[in-house]
Amino acid sequence: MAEYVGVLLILALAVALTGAMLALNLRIAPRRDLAAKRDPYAGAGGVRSAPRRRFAVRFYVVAILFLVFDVAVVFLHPWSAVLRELGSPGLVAMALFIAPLGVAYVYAWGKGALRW
Amino acid sequence: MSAEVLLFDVLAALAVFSAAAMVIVARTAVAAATALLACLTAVSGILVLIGGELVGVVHLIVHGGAVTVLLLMIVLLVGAEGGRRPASRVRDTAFKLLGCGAAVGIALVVVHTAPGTGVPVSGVESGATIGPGAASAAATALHPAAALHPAAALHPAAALHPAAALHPAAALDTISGGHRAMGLALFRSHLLPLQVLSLLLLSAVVGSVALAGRRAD
Amino acid sequence: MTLLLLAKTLTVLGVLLVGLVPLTAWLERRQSALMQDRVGPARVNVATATLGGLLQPLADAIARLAKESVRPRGADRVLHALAPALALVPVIVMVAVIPFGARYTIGSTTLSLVLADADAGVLWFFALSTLSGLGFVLAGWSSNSDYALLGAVRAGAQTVSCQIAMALSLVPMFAIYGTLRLSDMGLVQDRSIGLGGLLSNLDLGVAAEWLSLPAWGIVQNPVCFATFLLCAMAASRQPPFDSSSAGSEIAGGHTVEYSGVGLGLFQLAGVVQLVVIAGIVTAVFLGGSAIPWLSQDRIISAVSGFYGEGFATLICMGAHAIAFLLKLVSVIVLQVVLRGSMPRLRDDQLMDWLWKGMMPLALLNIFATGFVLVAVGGGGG
Repeated sequence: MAEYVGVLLILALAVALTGAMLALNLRIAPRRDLAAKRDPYAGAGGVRSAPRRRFAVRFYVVAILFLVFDVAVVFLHPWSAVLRELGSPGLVAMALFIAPLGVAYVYAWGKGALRW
Repeated sequence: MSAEVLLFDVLAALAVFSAAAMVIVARTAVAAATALLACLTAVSGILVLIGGELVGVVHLIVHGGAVTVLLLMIVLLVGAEGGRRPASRVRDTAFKLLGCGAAVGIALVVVHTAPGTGVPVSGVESGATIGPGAASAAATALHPAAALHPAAALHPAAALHPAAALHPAAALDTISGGHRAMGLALFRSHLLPLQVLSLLLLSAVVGSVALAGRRAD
Repeated sequence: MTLLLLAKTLTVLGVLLVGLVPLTAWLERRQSALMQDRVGPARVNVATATLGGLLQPLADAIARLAKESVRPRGADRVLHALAPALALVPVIVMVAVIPFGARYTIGSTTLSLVLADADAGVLWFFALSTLSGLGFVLAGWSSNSDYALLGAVRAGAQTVSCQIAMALSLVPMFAIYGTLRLSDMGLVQDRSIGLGGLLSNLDLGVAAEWLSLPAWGIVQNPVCFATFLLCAMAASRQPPFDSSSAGSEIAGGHTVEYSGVGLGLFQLAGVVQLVVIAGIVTAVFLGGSAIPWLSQDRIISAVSGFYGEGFATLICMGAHAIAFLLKLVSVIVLQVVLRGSMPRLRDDQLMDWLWKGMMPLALLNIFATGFVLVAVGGGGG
């Protein structure tokens, strides 16, 4: 836990630095309010913008796949560090763990979830 | 009051405040997801503080990263505009923030006064305690895996670490760490739960791909 | 103790912000200009001396700070202001786990040139890089603009896909080193793999000792090096993986509605991320701070004959820090070479490349490496 004091320090300094830059900008930057400037793309050519609309379902599928594979990867890390001690039983155990995920991957691919 | 307890208080206050702000102040689902991110980051800090370094970082990867991304994607999918609350007056916002502050105050008072046993902070080496066992209890409740944390139970496992014969490097006696203990524990004594978990993940993928496919048709 | 740590923190931040960041920003501009047969930055000067544009980053920083930060109409006020900070702060914190040197014992004190010698150092890098990616997603969402939102969605999908590929691609190295701690990886790489066994028929004499390769990650598993470097570059959204901010397609994507200091913070985050990736690559694949064929013990025992052991250790520490920084800068140069020599991937090509190329390749590498390790290492337990 003592190692993390350094993280805490650098986090505090990073936040302070970012805050200082934002504050400095507020202090020294000019402010000339112009209605057109606050349009999307700074009013370039009267572009009409209607964002915050719905997005394709594929982004949701990517997020789910990410969640699932991320959980699997999290188990790979401690496994890899002790693979030498575990030996071949460890390799087999991981192969068994990955196999259903391989099936999931192939299923998602076959269903077109990985098609963009 | 030791530095650890102070740090715990700060992190816990941040967690409770952002959790409250998520519900009370946030006007859009995206703002709420951002507040959730702050809350999860603070909880990850608490996990590191009580000695569960690996659990802390995994918590940040899985919950802070993956779950938040999933939330954001869902928000984009359903369209955030429908869920947007009307803007409130400055006075109302002030009251809402006051409410969040009150939640923090109550939580801290409860943690510091409720009866309990008190747990060691940061593993075995430090004698400091965070009030009553609230911190560790909360962490364990959030995360079953926190029970595995590398304090007393897993420390002996470090003795299993690689004999010099496996690595010819000279400085190898310095290699250690909670992630090695966790790896050995997971793949020696908890193999079956792992396999079951992998099947669970498979069903999650199949379910979501099938549902998404049906909606697209 | 605390003072020492504070001094270390300030030194690391100083080296980063005063040394490496301007240098990287300059390399990005000057080196790309050379590669594209352009002049590059040539205006900023001190008494007509342009120094090859070396002062350009300073001028850029001043410009960003001194210009107005416009918030577009309809933007989410709080999130629009918060997003650049969320993108920048995590990448600065990442620097804490980079080991700028090994561990040194002088008398009774142990000194290490890493700010936070975290148990699972690399995992913090993964976690923080996702957090930083979320900053870019929020920026695009909160801007209330079409291209910005498109950039945000692409950035989100890219962040998560790269995360998986990147985390998978490093697993073989963890298996080879037997640890996730970055400073320990440096120690394990501080030795040589003898080629003597292969060439035992020849009578090499003294040369046999020098006929060896450093036990660096890049030597032990080059596939791993290539996949990780590319995935990490993709995760940091730098060209050619910048479809979420593609200037010629969606006009800057997630950062299109940012100006002044907000834009500056995003650019700073990008540059710091380049440095951090170079640091991680150096620590995992290029031997960390190790000097080839001259292990720490060897340097110290050679020098301590003249000056005593304490001073010898200090010299070794300095040499290691210099070696680390040299390797780090060369990885930055390599990244700029790569980004300058490949055309941008379209967003669908990028996702295809990650999900159908990098991920299976990384997984294959894991099991191939694992198999070799188990076969060579023998018996289990």
